Amino acid sequence: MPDNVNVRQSDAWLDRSGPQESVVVSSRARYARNLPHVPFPMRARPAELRGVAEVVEAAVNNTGVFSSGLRVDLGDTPAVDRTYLKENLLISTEMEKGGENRFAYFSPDIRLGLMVNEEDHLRMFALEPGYQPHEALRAVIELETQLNRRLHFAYSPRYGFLTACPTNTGTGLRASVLMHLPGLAMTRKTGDIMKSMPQLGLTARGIHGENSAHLGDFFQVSNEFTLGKSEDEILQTVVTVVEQIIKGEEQARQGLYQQNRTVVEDEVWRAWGLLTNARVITSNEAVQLLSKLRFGIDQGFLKDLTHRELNRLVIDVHPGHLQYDSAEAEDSAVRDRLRAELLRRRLLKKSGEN
Amino acid sequence: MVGKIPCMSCKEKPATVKLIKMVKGTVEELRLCQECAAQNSPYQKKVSQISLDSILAGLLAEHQKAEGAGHPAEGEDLTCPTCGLPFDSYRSSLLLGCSDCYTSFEKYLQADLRKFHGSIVHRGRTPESGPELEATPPALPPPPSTPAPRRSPAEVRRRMKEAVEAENYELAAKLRDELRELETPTTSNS
Repeated sequence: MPDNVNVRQSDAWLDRSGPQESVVVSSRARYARNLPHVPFPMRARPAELRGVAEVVEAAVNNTGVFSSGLRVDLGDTPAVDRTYLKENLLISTEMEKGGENRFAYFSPDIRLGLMVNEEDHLRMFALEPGYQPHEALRAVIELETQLNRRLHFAYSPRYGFLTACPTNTGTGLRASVLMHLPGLAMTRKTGDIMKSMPQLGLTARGIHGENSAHLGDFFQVSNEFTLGKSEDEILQTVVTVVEQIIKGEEQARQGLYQQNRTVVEDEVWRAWGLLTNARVITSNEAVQLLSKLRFGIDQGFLKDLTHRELNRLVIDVHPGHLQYDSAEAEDSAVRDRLRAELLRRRLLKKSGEN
Repeated sequence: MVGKIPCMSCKEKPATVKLIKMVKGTVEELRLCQECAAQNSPYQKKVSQISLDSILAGLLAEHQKAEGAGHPAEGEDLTCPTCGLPFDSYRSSLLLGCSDCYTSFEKYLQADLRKFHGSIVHRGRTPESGPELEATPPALPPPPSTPAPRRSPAEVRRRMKEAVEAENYELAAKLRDELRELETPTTSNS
């Protein structure tokens, strides 16, 4: 199989803009599916995993959805590439570890993706920039339907689609919206909002999913329950809360700007100062400062920058991305220097202050 | 406040805490500084000795006892016939072995599903069942069925169960692998 994969292609999704992008980075819907009677990946023998991978690949090829996109054999892909995909928010931490008989497929525009032999035999998703949760759900349903015409999925009329972890049983659907909430963070309201999530049947994770910190005020809001509700009801729960958070964030930003204009301006320009002058910078510091710039765009500063470019920068300062560009960056001290260079180059070029 | 009383323990820092102890019926009054008081307090140490893990584990055990239905009865050997997953393994990992585990463990899983989702009835989309699907053969042949060499896998499984009960998960994992080897049919090349 011609497998000379260039994972840089996977940046494609970061190049598209979407609605309400000042608050919402992206919307995603994913389905977990399994083949019946075959042990789930964590328990399957290599031969069984291979069997699953072959059957799924045949179905995938038959749909043509991923043709001329990316096909990644994680057992045969260097660690740098795997980390690159993970940092691009396209594969899970589990898949980043690599392993035989694990595959990932992406459509050319990276709107659709499929992981094979992760926790479940199939994990498929649709990813849209900005606030487009309905479009994401529609797209993943379409993908699932296509695959289901060619594959039997483990299903029980009573419990719905059967998954390795019973927290995903039923629809197997996770609908999530990745939000940037600096206004609520500055007015110290994110804590309360996050605390109320479980009562609403939702969870809020950091940018890299489970167990990751809310670095740079990025929050990923998604449904907790998958059984007992239809897809539309699940999406509605997420959408109702997310829209309120968007409103809250917009009000918080406006309030901050009206009442504390000088303080806000100062924060943004200080971030600019550090990002364009630092000679050494860690990824955590960079993401936190870029978060401030992202906020600044919205207030009309930094006219030459766009949300899209900042999303891209937030991803590009990650360790794996720097290592992908330069083998030297394996050393973290060198990496911090290269990161500072990258930021100066990209930000100063954009503002024409070269 | 007139003059500072020195701490009765270290005799250096000023005493800012009054600690009254009742020892065998006699009241003892101690005047201590912050640091010595912290060391002297009967509450201080006890609190720090209890680890968060043990609190959580205790709560979880209580919770499961209360649930009752979530746990198979003592001595009940509960293993999925399709994939060989012992129910105990699911309990510790929360991961099922195959889609048939839902039938094998149904009785106990229902409580979990209800706990996680507040419901046990699927109301979402149903599988596509067009003519194309009818024409497709089942995705994979069923996994090698278990009745190969009978005697020793049973023995291994028994030992594995014992190991799990003794919380010797390392040994249990080894036995599980051994069991898998044993259950791989050697005649499947025909």
